[in-house]
Amino acid sequence: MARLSILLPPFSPDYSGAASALFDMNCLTVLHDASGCTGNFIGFDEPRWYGTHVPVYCSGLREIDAIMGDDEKLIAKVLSAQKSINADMIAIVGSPVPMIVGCDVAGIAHEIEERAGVPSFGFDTTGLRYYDYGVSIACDALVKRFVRPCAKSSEPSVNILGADAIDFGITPTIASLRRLLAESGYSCSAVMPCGLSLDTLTNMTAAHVNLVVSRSGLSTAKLLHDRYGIPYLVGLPYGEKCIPEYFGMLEQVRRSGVNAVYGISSDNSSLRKAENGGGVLVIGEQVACNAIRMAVEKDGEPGPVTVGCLFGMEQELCRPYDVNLADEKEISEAINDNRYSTVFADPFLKWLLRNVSKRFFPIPHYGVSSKIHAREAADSIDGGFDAYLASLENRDATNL
Amino acid sequence: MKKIAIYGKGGIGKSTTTANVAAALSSQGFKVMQVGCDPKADSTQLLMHGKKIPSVLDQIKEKGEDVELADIAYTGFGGVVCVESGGPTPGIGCAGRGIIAAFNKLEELHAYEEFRPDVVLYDVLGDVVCGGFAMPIRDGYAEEVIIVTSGERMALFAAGNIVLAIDNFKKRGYARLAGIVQNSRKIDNEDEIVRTFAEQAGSRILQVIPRAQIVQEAEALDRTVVEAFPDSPQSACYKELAKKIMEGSANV
Ligand SMILES: Nc1ncnc2c1ncn2[C@@H]1O[C@H](COP(=O)(O)OP(=O)(O)OP(=O)(O)O)[C@@H](O)[C@H]1O
Ligand SMILES: [Mg+2]
Repeated sequence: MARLSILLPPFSPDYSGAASALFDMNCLTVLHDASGCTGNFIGFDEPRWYGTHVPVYCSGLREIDAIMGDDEKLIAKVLSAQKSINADMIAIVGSPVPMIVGCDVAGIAHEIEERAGVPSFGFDTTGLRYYDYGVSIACDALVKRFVRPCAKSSEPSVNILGADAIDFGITPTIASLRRLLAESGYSCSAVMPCGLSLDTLTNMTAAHVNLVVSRSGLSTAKLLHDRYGIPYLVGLPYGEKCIPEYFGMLEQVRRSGVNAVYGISSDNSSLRKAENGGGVLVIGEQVACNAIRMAVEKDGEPGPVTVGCLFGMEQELCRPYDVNLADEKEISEAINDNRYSTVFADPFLKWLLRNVSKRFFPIPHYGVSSKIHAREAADSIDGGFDAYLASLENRDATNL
Repeated sequence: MKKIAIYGKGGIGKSTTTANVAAALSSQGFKVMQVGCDPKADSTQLLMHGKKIPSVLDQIKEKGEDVELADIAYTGFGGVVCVESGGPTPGIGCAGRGIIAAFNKLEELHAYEEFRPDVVLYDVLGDVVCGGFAMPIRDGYAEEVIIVTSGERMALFAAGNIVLAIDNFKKRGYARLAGIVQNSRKIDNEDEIVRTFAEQAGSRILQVIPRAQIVQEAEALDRTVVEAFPDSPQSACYKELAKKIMEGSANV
């Protein structure tokens, strides 16, 4: 029962990530499930769902279909929907029941592609992993399928990878990043997956550098690096004081072609392990947490800042002493650990806090608290993360 | 790497034939991996000289995330890498899902990259009873299927069902039928019957294996015929089949 969640809701799962990543691609997306997973996706994991006409469907899997392996029923439904929708591509997204009965979603997609004549994908998502995995496999599949080698753009240019709706919610953070890039003389070739089009996707090798802004973009960055030699920079510039350093690093990656991670190197003093009382714990998605850490350190926070990864941890994005928080028990232990007097985390995680004298800074994440706190999430780039901190400092942080 | 799945009616001689082919291939200088896809976990017994190796699923059950490649892959006669996917005891659990879990574990542990076999043989349980038992012929696994049958009605019926399944899955990029192995049962007109079946299936007979006492004699020694009686005509027959399998794919 180690993975039991008593106070926290389940975080956004892989099928939501995959479906979300395809949201802007005019993709007929079918979640192969009984409807609970589709409901989860459109109701809680996809902030852009209401008011759109994106063709997301539920296969309406029933017990007898699962028992009889009646894949033809699903295929026929998809083909008939495609006749009227005429989408550019089709995706079948797996869920727990197809996983249990061993349904071959990739094979089904193969068959659909042959019969419908449009590119089709099958994703073996199971609901057992987090959204970032789903975003990654969907983006990787798009890249493998559509990206073509093309001439480099004449001006310095980047792709933004990992810009998914679950990580960035309804905040204008990515738009602010694009503005900063433009001000520094960088054009944007493709932003993936939010705002992606078939055209920008196909031509994304025109960019000189891939900017990875969340963990979900890392796998695609590696793929583009291996296939087309495009170097990547992982990180985000939160806080005014981080911006020059961040863009210096971007410039360096562009010139040297060597991959880099922003937010893990620092002066030695900040590599200390947190001691009793003085530490800061930043919990959430790893790349955003690294960005918050840099902002906090630049702001003059004296104590060591530790990142606690909520959705999984990449070794290459870590500092020593960063921790992976795999379940509610581990999150709770970390949050209540006396070494940390300040915690940054989604407001839902505050329910786990037993010691009210700790400073708690709420950083809403759509994959945790969904729309309940979505509007409180800040644009961490525009106006600077420091301004956000200051506004919280003025109020009593613990009573938010 | 050539990946071949062997299907056929229960008890028809899949494991015996597969193990002999594996032994023959290794004697011809190939690196072979044999994966038993059957809860009985007895596919590789002749190659392992009767030693029962722990199955992938047994090891997952016992060790969880700590399973290593050495826990599930064992070296048998001629350096053949032996793996048994395993499964629940009859009447409980979900054997088909078990095959999928075992296959995923092999991928996760990079078994194919580690051993770099020239040939992988998947010896699959009698009838394709559920989705899991089609796993070995899915995209990324076996590209070719060999069906073992005799001239007996029930064996041909099972073989016919497998042909149908392969045909059904064509649109999904699954394996194709490479040919039929006749494991003879000494029934009247057997060669003729199986040849007609192969023609109707749009396939061909790769090899006619005689029913021979020497197979049981080798089995009593916990050996393949190829190992125990390398100079026997039966051994030559398995070696011929092995050769055809390796050359085969181009001209089927
Ligand atoms: N050519 C042959 N001549 C004589 N005996 C044979 C021959 N081929 C197989 N046998 C015998 O038939 C029996 C069943 O063979 P085997 O276990 O290989 O079948 P199988 O198809 O793998 O069965 P299962 O479906 O139960 O896994 C064995 O005892 C084996 O010795
Ligand atoms: Mg057998």
